Amino acid sequence: MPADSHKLWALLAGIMLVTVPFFPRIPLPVTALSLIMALWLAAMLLNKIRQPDKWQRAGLLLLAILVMSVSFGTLLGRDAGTGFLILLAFLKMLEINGKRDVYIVVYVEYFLIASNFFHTQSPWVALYVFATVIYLTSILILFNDKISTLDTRRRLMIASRMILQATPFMLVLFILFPRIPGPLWGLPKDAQAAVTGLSNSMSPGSVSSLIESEEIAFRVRFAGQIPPHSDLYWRGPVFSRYDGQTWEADNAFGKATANLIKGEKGKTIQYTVTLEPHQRNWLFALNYPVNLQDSGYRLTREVQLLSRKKINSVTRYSLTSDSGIRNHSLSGYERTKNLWLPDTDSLNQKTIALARQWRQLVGEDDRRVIDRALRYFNEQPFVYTLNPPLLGNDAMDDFLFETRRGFCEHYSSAFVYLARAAGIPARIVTGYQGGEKNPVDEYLIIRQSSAHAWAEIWIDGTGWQRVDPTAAVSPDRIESGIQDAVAERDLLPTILLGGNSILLGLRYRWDSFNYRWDEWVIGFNRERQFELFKKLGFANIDWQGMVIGMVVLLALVGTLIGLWIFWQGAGARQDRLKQAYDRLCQKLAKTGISKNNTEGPTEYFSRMRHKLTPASASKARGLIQYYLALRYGMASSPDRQRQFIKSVRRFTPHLK
Amino acid sequence: MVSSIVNRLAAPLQYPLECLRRPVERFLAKRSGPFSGVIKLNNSLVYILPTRVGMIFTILLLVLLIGSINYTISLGFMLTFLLAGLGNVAMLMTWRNMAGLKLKGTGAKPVFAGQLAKFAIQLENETNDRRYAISLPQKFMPGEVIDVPVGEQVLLHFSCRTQNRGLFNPGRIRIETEFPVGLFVAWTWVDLDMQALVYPVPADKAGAIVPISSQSGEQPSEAEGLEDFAGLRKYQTGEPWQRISWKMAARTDQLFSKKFTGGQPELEWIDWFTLGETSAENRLSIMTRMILDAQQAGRMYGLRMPAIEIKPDNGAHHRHECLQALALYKDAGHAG
Repeated sequence: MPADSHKLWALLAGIMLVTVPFFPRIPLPVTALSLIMALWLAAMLLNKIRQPDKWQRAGLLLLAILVMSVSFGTLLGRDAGTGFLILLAFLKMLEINGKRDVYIVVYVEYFLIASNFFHTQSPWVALYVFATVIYLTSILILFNDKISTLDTRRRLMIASRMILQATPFMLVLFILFPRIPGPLWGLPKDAQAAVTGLSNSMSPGSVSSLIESEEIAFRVRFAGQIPPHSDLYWRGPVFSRYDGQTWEADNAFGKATANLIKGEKGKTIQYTVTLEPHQRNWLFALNYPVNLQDSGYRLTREVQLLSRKKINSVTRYSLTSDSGIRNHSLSGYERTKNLWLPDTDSLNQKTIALARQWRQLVGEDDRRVIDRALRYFNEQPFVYTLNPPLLGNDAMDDFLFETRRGFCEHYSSAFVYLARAAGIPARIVTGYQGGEKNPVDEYLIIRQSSAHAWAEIWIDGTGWQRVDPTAAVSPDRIESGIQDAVAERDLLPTILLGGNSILLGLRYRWDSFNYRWDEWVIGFNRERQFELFKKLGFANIDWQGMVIGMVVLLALVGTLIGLWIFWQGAGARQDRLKQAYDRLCQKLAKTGISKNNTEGPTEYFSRMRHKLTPASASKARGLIQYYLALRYGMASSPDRQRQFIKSVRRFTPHLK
Repeated sequence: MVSSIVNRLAAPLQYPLECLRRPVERFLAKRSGPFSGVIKLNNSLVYILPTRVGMIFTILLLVLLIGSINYTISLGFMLTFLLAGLGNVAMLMTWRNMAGLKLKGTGAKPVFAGQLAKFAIQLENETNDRRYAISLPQKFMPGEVIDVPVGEQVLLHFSCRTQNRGLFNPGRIRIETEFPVGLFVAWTWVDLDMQALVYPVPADKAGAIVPISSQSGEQPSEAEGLEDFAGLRKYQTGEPWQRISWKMAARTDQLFSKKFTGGQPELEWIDWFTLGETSAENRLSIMTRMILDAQQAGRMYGLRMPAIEIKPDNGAHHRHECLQALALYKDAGHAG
């Protein structure tokens, strides 16, 4: 083997550092094969096994392809590609045969580091990237330090210094490099990680499964006061089609817009949402967003706020919502759609009967039917729970008359069902309700655990109106939040439960940092770029200006780093011993006799000693002898040098 | 298997670099010497280009950049730009690792044509940075790699195969370094005015030697021989030490050599003109062999060739003088 084994050990450590974070996420056979190859290399380095020959390597490659096809069924795509790269890196490790192979392994490792970002882009990952790049750089140094002068510590120091010097380049490029909005071409199906979040349909369990997630859906900063918890209905997907089990959106409206009318005087609220990527087109807003002309977003007929592209990176948008706006859009088709129920002749007969009974009791007034329904939820022994029992074919009958245990999706769908059965157009709205105030930085954190589903009903003359049947069952859910509403507190994310206040304070600080990280690092895009320049006073900068600025700054940074690299060696570090000796000579020159350039220390001293008092002269002689011993003797050490420098500083010659 | 694929992919990358490198070097060669004495590697003498893995590194950065744009990954941009910065720093450091060194060529010992001439370049580091892993490219043997510690002078050895007699000049020497990360190679390409004297190839022992006429030309007035002891005389530098009278040396603290007369005279002339009809190079070869033999046998020998006559003597210096005359012989336009 050409390379020494200690170098390959270092390379093995590097590949483990890079691949281990993947092991919990990739299929077991891939992990297993990777570890087998790692062990093979280790055994090889301990001289227990030979380097695999051509046939064994071909066998391993075939095995790798087999493992890939069993685990993924393909070599393409994000996850399969990552898995295959991991296997290839280990395979390459087993056939390292010179410098180029080492570089191939390191380059593959750079790609693997980047693959982590599909999964997470937290500040920790950024730290991990820096640490790993430093280590990989130290490996490159190891393979280029041909006569092995440097030990691990020195190599890591050089690598760290290089990364430190590379950081200004990185910052300039990160801020000024023109950000072209992606994607450049179609992404593979699994391009983005599976994310928790609302889906484009709703069935029992689909919302409550989110409640256990501490993950952040979005954060909101308000221009003024944060509105009360019970007003914070973050409107998301709207569902009006029901097949007996699942609610789905009605996509029949195309680009039709909603008929929004300014009603009574309402409050306007300005706020900025920083939305985590959820791979969907919808955005979340309070009722109802106005002035969207310049935002690039649009409202659907059902007043859903949509983005043209899927939200696959952190997205920041500012909205103004006006609570006085009324939604008056209901065509005949929509009325039919929003009254439709599946198989009314056979399914959920008891529910339909109940609704018709209420209608007969209260007469024409829709509002009174709604009141009856809400009172029913409130008065009957309904339980708000994360663990509802399963429902049968007659899901509504089962829920309303038998189990009576459910979560918001149960209540909202039962309510809409009842309303429709009573002849009131109704639909489901999903989204998030409430939010958690970060006391450190006065913004609102909306976690997945705030996911919610409510209902919207049509009242002639008023338009669509929000009704939240969950509030009738569990007012706490709407007034203060999920943590006070459900019995199964141990299922909730711990952060919701409060507890140790110092720890909680730290958590909020950390979240505040994450928020900024999301806004300025992860969510740094073209808009943010221009926003930043506006803040810095370059309001009218365009692309050309930005590129010119980037080139100029890069040249500047390059020059400064170059000077750093050159001056750290070019005699910047002076001979401290010589400096101290020169200082001593300067002090002695006060006698009126200064040292000639050609004079040695002893000669000079003998020439000027008669000017000094005896005590001073003997001190000076001591110092000069000390200097000679340090300079030419064997006994020099940094400690003694320091002592000499100190003594010279204290020394004052006294004249006769 | 994997490597062969990558190899094939990477091969075309190498060629544009090579195509670029040659004319660039030709252009730069104009300012590369020869320099006698110490030469400090200043800005204009240190060149730098990406290595092959450095070029692949650039492609890696492009792919990472495109991936980051396509998937809108901010940390991907960060990694890409950090690595780009690392490349920049590596370039500066590699350049720095070579710049500011002081070079001095040292002479090589004379060799016979066809042998390796062994040279050494003295590298001196007056800066406060250690210089790492500086080497000569593989075409020189043995591809030595050295570090130059702060304030020290280190010799970088290399050997060249000689071909013809005369003065051998290794020409411009490329000294290079890829430290610290091998993405760039910094090199200097200077003629340090190094020379090696190359003696002619000695002819084979058997056959080629033509009998020498020991009586031709001028004779010393007193015929010296080897057989009859004829007294002592003061030792002169260059006489074979076998003839020193050690007894007298012990007694008098001075060196005397024994004087002999009679027998076959041990004095011989190695004479260009007595070698019969053969080419000049052949003559030189034969004469080289004769010098070596005479020197080894401890005989006194002189050299006679066109425009040169070296008085008979024996000793290392004399041998060198004679061989140098042969090595530097210039055929005055005649076909030998």
